[in-house]
Amino acid sequence: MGTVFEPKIVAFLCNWCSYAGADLAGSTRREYPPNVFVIRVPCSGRVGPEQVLRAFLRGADGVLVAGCHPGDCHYLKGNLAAERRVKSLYWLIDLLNIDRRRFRLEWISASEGAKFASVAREFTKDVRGLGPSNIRLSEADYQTALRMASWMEALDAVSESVERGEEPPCKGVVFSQAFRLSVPYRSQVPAAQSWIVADPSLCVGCRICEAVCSLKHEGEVNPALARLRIVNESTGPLARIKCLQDVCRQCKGADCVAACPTGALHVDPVTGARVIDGNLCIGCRNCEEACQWKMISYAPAKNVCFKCDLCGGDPACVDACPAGALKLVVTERSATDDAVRMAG
Amino acid sequence: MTPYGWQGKILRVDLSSGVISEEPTLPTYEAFVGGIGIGYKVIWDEAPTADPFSSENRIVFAVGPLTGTHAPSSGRTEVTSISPHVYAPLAKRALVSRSGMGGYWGAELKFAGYDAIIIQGKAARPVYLWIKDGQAVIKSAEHLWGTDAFTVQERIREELGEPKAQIACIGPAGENLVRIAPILHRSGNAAGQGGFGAVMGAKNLKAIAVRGTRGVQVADGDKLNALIREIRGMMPGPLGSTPLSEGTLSWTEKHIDPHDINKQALRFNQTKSCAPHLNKYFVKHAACYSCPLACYAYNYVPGAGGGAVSCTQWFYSWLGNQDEATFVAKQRCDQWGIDTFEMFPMIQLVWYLFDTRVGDKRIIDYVCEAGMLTSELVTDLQDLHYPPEGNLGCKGIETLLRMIAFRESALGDMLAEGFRRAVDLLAARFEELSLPQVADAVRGWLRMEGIMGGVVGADGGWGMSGHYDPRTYGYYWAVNFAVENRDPNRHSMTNLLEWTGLSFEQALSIGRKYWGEEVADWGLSDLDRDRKKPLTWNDAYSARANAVLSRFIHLRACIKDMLTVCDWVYPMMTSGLAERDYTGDISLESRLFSAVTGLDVDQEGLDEIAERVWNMHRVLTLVQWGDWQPVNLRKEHDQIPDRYFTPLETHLLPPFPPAPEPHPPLEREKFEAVKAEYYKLMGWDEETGVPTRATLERLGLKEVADRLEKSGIPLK
Repeated sequence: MGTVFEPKIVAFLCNWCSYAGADLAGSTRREYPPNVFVIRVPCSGRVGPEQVLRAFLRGADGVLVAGCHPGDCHYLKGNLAAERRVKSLYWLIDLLNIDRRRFRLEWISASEGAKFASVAREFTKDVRGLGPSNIRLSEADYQTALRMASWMEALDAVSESVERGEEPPCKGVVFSQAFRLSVPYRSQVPAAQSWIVADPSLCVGCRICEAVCSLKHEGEVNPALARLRIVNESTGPLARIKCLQDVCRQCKGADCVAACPTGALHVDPVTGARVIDGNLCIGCRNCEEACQWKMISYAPAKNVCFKCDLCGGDPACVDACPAGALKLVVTERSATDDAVRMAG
Repeated sequence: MTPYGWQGKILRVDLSSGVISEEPTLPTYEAFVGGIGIGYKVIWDEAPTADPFSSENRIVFAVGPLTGTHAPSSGRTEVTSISPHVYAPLAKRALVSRSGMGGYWGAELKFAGYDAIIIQGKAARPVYLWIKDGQAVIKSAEHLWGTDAFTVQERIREELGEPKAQIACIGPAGENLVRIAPILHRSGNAAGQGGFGAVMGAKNLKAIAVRGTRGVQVADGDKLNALIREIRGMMPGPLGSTPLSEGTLSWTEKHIDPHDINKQALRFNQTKSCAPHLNKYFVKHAACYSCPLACYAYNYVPGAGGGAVSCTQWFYSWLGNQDEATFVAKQRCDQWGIDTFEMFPMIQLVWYLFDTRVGDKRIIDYVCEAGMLTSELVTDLQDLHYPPEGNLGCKGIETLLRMIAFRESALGDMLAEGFRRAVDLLAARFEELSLPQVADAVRGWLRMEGIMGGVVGADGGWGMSGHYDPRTYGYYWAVNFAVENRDPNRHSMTNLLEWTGLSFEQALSIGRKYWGEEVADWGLSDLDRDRKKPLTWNDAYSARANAVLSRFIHLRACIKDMLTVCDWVYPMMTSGLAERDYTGDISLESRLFSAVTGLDVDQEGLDEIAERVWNMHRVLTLVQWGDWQPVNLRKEHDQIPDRYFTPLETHLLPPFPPAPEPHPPLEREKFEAVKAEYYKLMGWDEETGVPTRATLERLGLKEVADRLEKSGIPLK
């Protein structure tokens, strides 16, 4: 006893404003606590649940994200993205019973060295008062938490578009592209026009979706062959989720399509869904490996991989869900529009 | 070829020898469909008069052809065994019983390739069973013995590296052979009554973990999908609740359109209706496999974790608690493995021991003086009392549950035998101590009434809590109590009369459609009638009308438990739709059965199978009651507690929570008249209540009849 607790603070600072602000604080010899470890990021919008959560799990007691003032973003809207992502971050932080005061988002410009120093001092003082964070999470729970956060982020985007008064063009909800910000953008596959979005906060865990999916695609009721999954029955730190849906995001990057050597995994011209042609699939499982969401499975009996094909535009799972926890998103954008935009 | 619906295989595990074998489900069990049908058949064939804790006793986990499919609310598992919980001092052998649970376990068993598991023998050391895709192994559970039911599920999953394994297990109470120990699964799913957790404990079996990736084949997927769409488009909420329902178990979210099948799981919020003080901890609705109604309320209370709660698991709130202890009480029951339903009479009994004086001392003081309870435990237990004597507190309920689960103190040891045995044990102890007045005072508890107008609590017979009052419902309900071996409640009739929100006139007009005017008008009584008003009765019709209803309840009960579907949902007596006059459809079970199995079976056909299963239950009861000697079941077995027949003045109303007085007592002659009609309808001998040879032969149970007669039980 007797030693004062010194918190570790990780600060993610935007390269263009806040990092420069911190630099200015240093060069003008404004003191700020040595507890703050600075990580330079290209834009505050890049900081998502995975970075913040990882920082906490690696022993950070507080996390600060700082970016340019609204309107000043070097990339025009990156800091607004950061602000939106913070909402889902708070959701995650609450879920894990982390004190909200351990996380902070600030706008600090390149000229605000003094502001940076005072924010750092204040934040360190607050976190010191809160004591060590001691967050423990298994790797599996960490992955689940990230998936959960991604859905919450997506849902925020959905509700935003609804707030903006954009009418859904057909069944489902208009949805901003922001959903897949955290997906690495590697291949040149046109974005899908529709996809399924899940609301884990509504999922009741009845697994009817798994049953109807497997019956429709495989002719038998067998959740192991379903194209979506209900996961997590954790009694640990994630007990509050209880259950959540794992559904193919029909990713914009679509690494799965790029990974397929035979063209079996192709883009459905109507829905834009990434679908597997069982006749062309050679069972190499490259796509399964490429999918970061683990939404492609392998059926040894037939030596083929299988994944969600959106049932050609009218998904059985969405239709059967008794809790409205699965929604089909349909955009007006066509596959060609997107290809044009990307090429430009 | 695998038949549709069934997986075609039953797993047999002999824990004594460690031998694991498989046998075909069909044709042996085809006539019994599944669930309790398989259970009764196995017990009859193999060990009908075993002691519950002996190694010969079979414990059968069985599902039916609907489980595993997406037939609405079909995620059930039935456990059948000879019960250590059922209390029948006049019976020569312990009686058979059954208990069901929801969750994912039953469906997972199907996916693992089995329709049932038969467990026999007794392991030398604690073990658990691990079943995956047609492979089963017995694994050591020595390191898991003593762990609570949440921890053991987590640790088994971790140890197997199978996060999707579904586990049925017991808590410390089951290990300690507590007679009110259920089998637990996930959080809130439990095969509660019957003490089957203690049967597992006696076999040194801590858990059964299953995981499967095999599909369930259905005969006609399109037909099934269309039927399911039809059902979901009209179905009411759980317990037949309609948008008109109000109160404890009701359709709370009135704004949800009853036609919207994509919102139907969100209609029924039990935190809101049963424990509004916990609203801030409500996380989401939770469902069993394949149930669109999601009756569970999933709550997360910091410090007490997450847990799904439904119905009588809210017991502490129903008894008056107004804080987090409501949730903690339920969690502890789940963790330690104690039947929540038993808590109503149990807590009433503890209150009674504090409230009742003999001379200038309370019974609890005598208990203390006799060394059955330490003074510290008395202080802690007093916290369980309602104010001002206690606080209905967390400490009080945890003390009681700990005393039961770990058999702490001599009184705890008695309570662990179940409230009904405890009353007799405690009274006997005071007789031994030459305190007959205290013994009488203890027995006086048997005149206690239940709470909520008799919905739960007090002595219901067979060592179980009362469950809906026959004086309120009718003679059909009394006969229902009498011929069962356990808490006889089946929600068939409550699904029409109790929680639906329909007026009696509305319910009556639905009833007429199902059973005709004569039966509905002279069998059904208005539950909300004046408390002084006796049951509907007309000498010309009522005996038969009640018998018809009683038979309906029993056959539908067997159908539910063999298919296996949820008691809160089937038969679907009501609908959520006003334009149907809230009328349900009671033909759905047979239609679902046909669509899944491809067998052309109508309701009559299904009723006949149910009758066969119910007769198996009857003959098991017969040989158990007399230990293979002839007995008169009508006189000896088919009875209900005296308190239902005795005048109101002699009853103790519970002082808390405030309860209305019961309806006027039943009359023995009418009760006997309904019984006589019931035996006639069932084809049982009117004098003895024993199935006749003709009945057994009609149901294809000639071998059963032969075996009975060969053993010296004559049949008419």
